[in-house]
Amino acid sequence: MANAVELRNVTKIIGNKRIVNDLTFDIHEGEVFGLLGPNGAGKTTTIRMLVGLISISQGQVRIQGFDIAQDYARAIRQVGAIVENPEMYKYLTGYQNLLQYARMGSGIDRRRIDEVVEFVGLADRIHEKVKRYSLGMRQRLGLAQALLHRPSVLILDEPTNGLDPAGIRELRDHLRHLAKQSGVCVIVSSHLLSEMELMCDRVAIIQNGELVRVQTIDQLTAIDESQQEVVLDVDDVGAAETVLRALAAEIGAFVVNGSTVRMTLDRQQIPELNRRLVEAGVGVYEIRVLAKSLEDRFLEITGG
Amino acid sequence: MWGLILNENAKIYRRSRTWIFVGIVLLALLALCMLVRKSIPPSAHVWGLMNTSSGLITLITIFAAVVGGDIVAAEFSTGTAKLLFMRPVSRLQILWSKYIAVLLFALGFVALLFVASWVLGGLVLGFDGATTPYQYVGSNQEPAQIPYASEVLRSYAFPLVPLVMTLTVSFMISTLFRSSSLAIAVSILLLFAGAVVVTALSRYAWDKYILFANTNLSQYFVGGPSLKGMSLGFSVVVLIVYFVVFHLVAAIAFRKRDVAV
Repeated sequence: MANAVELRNVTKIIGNKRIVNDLTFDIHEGEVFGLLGPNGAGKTTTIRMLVGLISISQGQVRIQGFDIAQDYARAIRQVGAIVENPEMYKYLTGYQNLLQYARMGSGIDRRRIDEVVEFVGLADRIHEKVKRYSLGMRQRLGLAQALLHRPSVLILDEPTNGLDPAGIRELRDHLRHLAKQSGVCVIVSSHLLSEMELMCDRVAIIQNGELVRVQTIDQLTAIDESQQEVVLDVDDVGAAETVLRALAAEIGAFVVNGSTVRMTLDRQQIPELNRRLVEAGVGVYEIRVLAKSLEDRFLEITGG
Repeated sequence: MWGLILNENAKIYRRSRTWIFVGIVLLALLALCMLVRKSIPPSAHVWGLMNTSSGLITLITIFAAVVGGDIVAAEFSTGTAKLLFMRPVSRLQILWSKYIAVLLFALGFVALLFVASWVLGGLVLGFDGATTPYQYVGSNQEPAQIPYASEVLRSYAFPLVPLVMTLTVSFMISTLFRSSSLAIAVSILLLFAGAVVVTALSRYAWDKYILFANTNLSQYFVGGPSLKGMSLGFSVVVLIVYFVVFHLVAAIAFRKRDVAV
């Protein structure tokens, strides 16, 4: 796949602080790419550099091959974006806001505006003043504004803010549609992993302004077979403890709680443990592997 | 660029604030018309009213300072500056389209006052009187007179200078500090305190280089210059220098900054 956006050693220094340090990665056409990190990790700063709102202290950003610092007009023509909140002129109607934006580019006619309004589902309310819009409607209008000039790179900062679950689902479908059907490179940022999991193809995990890693969502959510948290529910805890003590060298420490025993095991150790328990006459009601949630894994990766 | 100016116009005229300003000026004009009607001739005709109504340009200057002080700063306080900057237009084009829109607003407002005064005055007081002589003291303290209609043109033309300079100051401060209240407060303060400052500093030779010693060009036609060593040409040059400097400051400030709103 072709690279739509390339970051090379991108660094932002404010005062003597490195807000973003040495980010290098590529984002492809037709993918939904996530910038993932805790609050204050540098996601929004990175996005501001991508769209030229702030200068890049060191390094380069190329959008469809155009350097954002050297060739701003041509690079930014490719980009539609919402940075932080979708900002609108509240005393204008939704439609008048879109007209403002349309006049700043070329080749956007009224038919295109109607098309985009229809796409984001705002047709009923588009002629109302924006001050009467809910946050969710403003997000929709923001998306319409970002899509108006048919960008090949769509950048959305925390796009699910203020959306209800149905709205989030709809947005997700829109973004996936744009990436898969129209080949748009979609970049979203979030600190919510569960959302990224459903929306993105790949994510860059950023922490303290540094790139921790770039992974596909599949890699990120793949089950790690070593050192899983296992809970046993047995009829005779005392007998079970005897068996476990005998195996202490292999399985390590365990914690008893009522009729359950909890420990950390590799996946392939589980059948053997079960056999030993049965042999010792311990009745096993349940062996449960506590799957790590994505949040746990995220905290693990970022050392949180 | 044309599209950008249209955009800025929409931001001015779609706001109810703008129409309140227009309403206030038209109401003030109506009140003036009543007063002139009761006054004794020779000024109780349409040109007399128009000569008086030119005083309302000071009010328009204040409103223009408000619009000019808000037009850049508001984009930052509402965060909409991001939308402007993420488009393939240069920041200078954005800045100048804003300035042009404010200037058009101010000049259009004065034109509206001029036309409204003529229509209202004509209907209430009659359209005669254009050639009635207007008497005044000339620049060399000699008695002088011109037709009333010419005096009206002068009385509308001279206040355009402080109007443009005040809104430019307001626009510059708005761009530099991104604060509309600061821009409006400072520019209006200068508009009214400028003359006082000039008088207070009149013992210094450099007093004549102060902007507000030069904004009143009528001094070269009526009553004579207020400070020694000044001429019409001198004032025009000083005004142009200030105007260019204000625009340079605004342009440099607008182009350089990172946008962190």
